[in-house]
Amino acid sequence: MNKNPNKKRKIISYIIISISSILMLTPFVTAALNSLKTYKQYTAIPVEWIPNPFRWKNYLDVWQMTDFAQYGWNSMVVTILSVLGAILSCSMVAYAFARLDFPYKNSLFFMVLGTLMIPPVVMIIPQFMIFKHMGFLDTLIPLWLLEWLAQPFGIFLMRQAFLQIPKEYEEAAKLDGCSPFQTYWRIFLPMCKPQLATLTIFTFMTKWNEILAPVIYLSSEDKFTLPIGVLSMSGAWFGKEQYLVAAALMSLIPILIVFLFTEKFFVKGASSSGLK
Amino acid sequence: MSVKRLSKLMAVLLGVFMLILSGCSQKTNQEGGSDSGSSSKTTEITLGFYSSGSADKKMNEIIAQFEKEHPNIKIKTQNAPYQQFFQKLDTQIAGGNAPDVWLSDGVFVQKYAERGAAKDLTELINKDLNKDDYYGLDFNKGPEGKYWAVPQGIQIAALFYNKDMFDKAGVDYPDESWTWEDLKKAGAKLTIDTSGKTADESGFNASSVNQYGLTFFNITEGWMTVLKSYGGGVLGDDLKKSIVDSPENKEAVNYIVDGMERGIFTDPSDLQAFQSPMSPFPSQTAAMRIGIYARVLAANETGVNYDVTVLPKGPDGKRFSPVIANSWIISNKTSDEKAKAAWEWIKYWVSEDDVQKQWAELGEAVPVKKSVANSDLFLNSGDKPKNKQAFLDSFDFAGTLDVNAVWSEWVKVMGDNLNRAFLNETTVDKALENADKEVQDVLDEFYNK
Amino acid sequence: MIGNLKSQTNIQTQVNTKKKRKSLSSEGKWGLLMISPYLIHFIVFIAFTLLASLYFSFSSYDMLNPPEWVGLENYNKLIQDPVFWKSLKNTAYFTILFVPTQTILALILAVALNQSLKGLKFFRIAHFIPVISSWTVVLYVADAIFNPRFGLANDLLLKFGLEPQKWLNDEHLVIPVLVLVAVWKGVGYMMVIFLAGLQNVPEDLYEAAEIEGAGVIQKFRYVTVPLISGTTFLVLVLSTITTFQAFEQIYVMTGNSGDITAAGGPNNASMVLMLYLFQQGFAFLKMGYASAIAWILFIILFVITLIQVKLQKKWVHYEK
Repeated sequence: MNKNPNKKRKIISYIIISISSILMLTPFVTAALNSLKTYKQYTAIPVEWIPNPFRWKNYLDVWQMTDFAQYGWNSMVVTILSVLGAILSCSMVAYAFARLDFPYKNSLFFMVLGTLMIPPVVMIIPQFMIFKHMGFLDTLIPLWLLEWLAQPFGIFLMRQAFLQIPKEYEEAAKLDGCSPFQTYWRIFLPMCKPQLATLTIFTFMTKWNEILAPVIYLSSEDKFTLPIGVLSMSGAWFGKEQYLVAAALMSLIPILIVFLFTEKFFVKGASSSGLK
Repeated sequence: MSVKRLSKLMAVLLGVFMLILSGCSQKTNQEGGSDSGSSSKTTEITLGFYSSGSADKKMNEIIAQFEKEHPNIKIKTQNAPYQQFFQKLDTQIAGGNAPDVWLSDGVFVQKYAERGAAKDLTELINKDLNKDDYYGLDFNKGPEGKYWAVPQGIQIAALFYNKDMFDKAGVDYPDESWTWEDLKKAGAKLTIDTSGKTADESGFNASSVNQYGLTFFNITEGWMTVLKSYGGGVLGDDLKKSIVDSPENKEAVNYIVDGMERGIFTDPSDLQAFQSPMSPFPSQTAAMRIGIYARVLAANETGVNYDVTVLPKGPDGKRFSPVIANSWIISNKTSDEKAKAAWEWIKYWVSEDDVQKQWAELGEAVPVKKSVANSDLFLNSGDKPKNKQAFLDSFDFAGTLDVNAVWSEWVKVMGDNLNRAFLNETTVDKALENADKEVQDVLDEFYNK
Repeated sequence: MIGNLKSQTNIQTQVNTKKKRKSLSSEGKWGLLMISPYLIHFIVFIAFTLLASLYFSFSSYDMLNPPEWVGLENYNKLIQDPVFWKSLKNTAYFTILFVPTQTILALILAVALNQSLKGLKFFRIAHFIPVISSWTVVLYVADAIFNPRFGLANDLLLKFGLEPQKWLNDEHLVIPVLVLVAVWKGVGYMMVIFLAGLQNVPEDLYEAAEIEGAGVIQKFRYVTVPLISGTTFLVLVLSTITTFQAFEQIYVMTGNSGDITAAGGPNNASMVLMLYLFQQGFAFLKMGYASAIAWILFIILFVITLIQVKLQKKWVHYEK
């Protein structure tokens, strides 16, 4: 008897997610197919959906023409440092905003929100001047440093997560003699794995795909990140535009891997019951 | 604690602010100090260029060669993809960190010149270069007669045509006798709809075209070329006054709109259907294009059987070929010593036969040095198109795209208005009237402050 | 005796409050210490930026030369600039279409995925692939659907005997199409945030609701919605802000092969504030004017967020 509504719920869910999965994937499959075409097929009208033959060589060419390994490595360094910084700094700052009481808390939090609202374009010139004075031009530092200093998006995301946790945990920690930092580190942080996973993916995604900041701060080719490397090459790809699609798809692979690793944290039931 | 701390904070903040502001007004001269104790002083200059794929490698090779022959000059390069290069450059100039010499798209030379970012090269050019030896020096001259840059490579337009399509339709190849009307007539025979009818036949469906007569895009490879050969244009001789609303322009735009209505020319929304607005010709969906020299790369890559000829004449026999001289600019903020080293580089680039030949082999621009451009190396390299001479002949009636300091801005305004006429959202008269006013507003905002 | 006891408790409470005050101040110290990364961030990187851009907004500044003070000129020009008003309108239109659509769809998907189903992992990945795709990929992907000549959408319209559309080249359709694509790309990420939020909803609440005879929709309405109101608030605020600041999509999808000056068409129908700002600043070197637009944008966002924060008290439930 109890099973019936559950079953109904499952059937409805299946229908919804199947339809939307198809909607999500169809265009993507088209792009993947496009990346395997010759230019002639790629631009053919009416469109030829299925490549004939499948030109896997497109991917090989892209790999060889751009210094994918070097650029990928640079991107990886920037991205991993950014993710680490974001997780640590945002969660710590967010914990303080969510659970601790300190002077000017509300105004300071509004400051965080305010920072989030500044259009990034106007920050380009002033921040360039600052990093120039610090002597960080043509290094990877400007690309990840700010992530270690708590970006507002992450603070906001994590604060909302900490706000949801019942007060009893805090009180229990206090009785055990934990300092606020210990409470945050030992008790609250592990409870917010789903949100940490969300933040990881967000940071990974933005940093991995970022274009303007790397262009402005990096000058030496051996420091280029992947998106600039690909864009630099694209000038030579007139008459080979399908390479652009292939390159873009190739650069997705690392994020996809990160997603596969963090995906299990999204649903607590799956991860915690798996451990026990 | 709070007030004290807050005031302390403000003081630190203000300090940082002052420090940074004062820093950006002071020029950076501290570099290039004596790091080695050797007797001959080396000058290090930074050189910026936008990437064009495989050409980057060649550029670096030529730079290495230059350094070898000039042991007292060291070049540090910085490059970026085309679109981002100029954002980076402008940010660097704003931050007092500009490269000493950089490669500028020809249409941006005046943007830097008129805003005082480029060094006046008139004296150096008069002293060191024989102007008759080079193409395009005059294309960077401002209306006041000063030289602001030296061409790195020239882009000049010709008419590209797909031989296979002409053969198939039984139409004679275009030649120098063609007028724009001839082009349209031939184009009608080369425009084929999905049911196989040409634009000449009755029952032709202009809204589902399979093969276009002429692909037409934007300013250089589109409207400016036609306007100017009809005797019209956008800016007057001083480049500060709009001359958009003229009978010549009306005639030209009517010619274009008619071609688009009949499906012979691609209109802006037709182009949307292509992966890139450049792709109709290399993908063999258009029989002709107005193309600058660099377009041979894509056409060769995709193996189109094509050739080029000079662009058609206007109704009064006037001809016009748009030209863009991508050029080296020396920063106005750089020290004399570095400017001298940068000038050595520019001289080396344009005057060394070897450098000019190496660059010509890439096939992405017409060489700046006339002797190299007129040699077999360029004209008979074996690559298509066969009639490269057409590009050189076009210098006789070449002109710039009315380039001034606010070029990008008025081009946008003009283009938006013309597109509305092209898509029949407004009449030609109204579009030109409106464009005239808006272009003048853009000019006045900059020049009559 | 009694008095003694009283005084004893008195002392005890005194000790207590003393201890409390002391612990409060130590908590305060901890709090400030823990937010110090952000404080450094603000002092070193944001404060200067804000001051500089505020100064630029009152200046004529072409980036290549030092800014020159012009007072309110930029703001005056802004008020009379029809393109500015149009882009403000477009931004609002985009946001109003986009934020609710994405939020509702993300919530429905998250609820549907928040249970043990076969093939769950596959479904989650499917929804996430658009999220991680760069806009370049999305451009090609969207083109397969909305290309006026050979796209799937027109193909279908023709099959049903309807008039084919120009989609991104149609003044009236361009924003709805862009919103559709943006939802397609963004919904997976918001779904993930909702999934994280749903972890705070205890399963026993559903069971209790079931015992009381609640159906799927009632459970959703009376259990799920209130309990993840905090997450919903987060999603609303974040997506409003990011939508106001979004321009990469429109830049990529309406510009001709990356030409920033060509983006925002047709006829400025898809010109949004951020795009306009970028164009004025970096393509036309009017950084002073661009900074003025930025400040207006900032103020609008600030007011909207303030309203959202104030309204939150009416509908967001927090664990206390």
